Amino acid sequence: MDYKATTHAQGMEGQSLALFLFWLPGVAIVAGTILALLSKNGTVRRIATAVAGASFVLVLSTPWTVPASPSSAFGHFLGSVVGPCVLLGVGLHNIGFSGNVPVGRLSRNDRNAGIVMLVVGSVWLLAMHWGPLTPTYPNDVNGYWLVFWSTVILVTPGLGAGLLVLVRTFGDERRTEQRRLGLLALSVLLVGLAGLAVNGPTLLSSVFADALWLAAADVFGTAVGLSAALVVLALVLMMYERQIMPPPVADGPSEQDLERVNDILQSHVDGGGTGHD
Amino acid sequence: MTDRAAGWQLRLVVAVGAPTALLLGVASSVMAHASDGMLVRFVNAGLTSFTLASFILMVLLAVYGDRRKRPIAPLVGMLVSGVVGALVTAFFLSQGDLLMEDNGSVRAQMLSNTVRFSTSLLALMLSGVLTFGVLLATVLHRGKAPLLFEEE
Repeated sequence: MDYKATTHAQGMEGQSLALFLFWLPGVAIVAGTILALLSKNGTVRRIATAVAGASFVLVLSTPWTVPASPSSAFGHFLGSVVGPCVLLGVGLHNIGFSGNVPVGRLSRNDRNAGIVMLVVGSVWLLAMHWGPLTPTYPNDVNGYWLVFWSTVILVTPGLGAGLLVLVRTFGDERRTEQRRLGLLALSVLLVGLAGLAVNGPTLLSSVFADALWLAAADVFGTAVGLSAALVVLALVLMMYERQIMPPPVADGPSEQDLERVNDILQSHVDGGGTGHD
Repeated sequence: MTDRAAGWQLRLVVAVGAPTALLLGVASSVMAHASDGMLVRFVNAGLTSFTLASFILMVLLAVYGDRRKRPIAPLVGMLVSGVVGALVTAFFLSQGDLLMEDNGSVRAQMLSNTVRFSTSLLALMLSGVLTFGVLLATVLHRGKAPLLFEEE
């Protein structure tokens, strides 16, 4: 076998590995998550959860299983951000559900643990930009992390400020909520502006600026695409529902039926017709 | 509608748009390359999200079908929508460099678009978890509201 044929065969082998170790697990994660959340059947839900979990581990391990595939950078990115994201999510959950909830209230220790998780998760994410934790794969800043981080920085201030306006408009006595949302939006905005003003150890501000504009294109494009898909879904459902034949209408009660009903009602109303009066 | 609620739509648009515009404005002054690939990225993101969302909505319709004697027509409708999206994407990607980024083939570009869409979606989810999580945590930590009685 000559060199060209050998590299071709290796390329095909790499593609097959990427298909079985990255793409199929990726599809299984999406399908498994949807089924686990929405299926009525308990067995289906358990199997779907297990499949989605195993597939997630397979995708996470792509930097070792299919290092030659460009897709493995996504597995590396996932492995890099899963820690801080879980900390932030669980931290907010602990803080929230240690408050005034009628059932399943968490303890004060859980609340303190939640605050620690929130701080550690935030510092971890910031250390990825300005500290030594920037995800690099194999020797450069991981492009998917750059997309992720710039999108978070771009969207969060607007989302926080928008929610603040809604709470201010429709909520009564919600000053604390407004202050916290404002603080979140302002903090993330300042992080973004700092990223544009100061170079990180591996991430230059000019590269971050490019990534922010590309993230804007991504977010607006995604919003347009999702909206179009939802419009198509609405049209498909509307057309289907219009084509459904109306259910058969039953004939009304006959004179005989009405008389029988009348008899039954009277027997109940006058105490069963025992004639005690 | 109360006075406080008057014109809330405009305030909402300004609140969402102002921080985004500020960040992008500052970013445009320090950009290295004029990001000439932005339009390409926008179109790729739109086509990819339309196609993938159609397929995901098809799966959701299958669950919806569980409750409605499994109708086939809506599933076929969304399948057609997803396939048309994929074909349109493949068509435009195969028109020379029109929508191609740093990828060598149409298939590589489509796969790259898919992974990038997943990344953006994860970022949007984290933003949502942060903002709604902060709001929920604050709402749940309010002291119990005092009962207010009208003066007799």
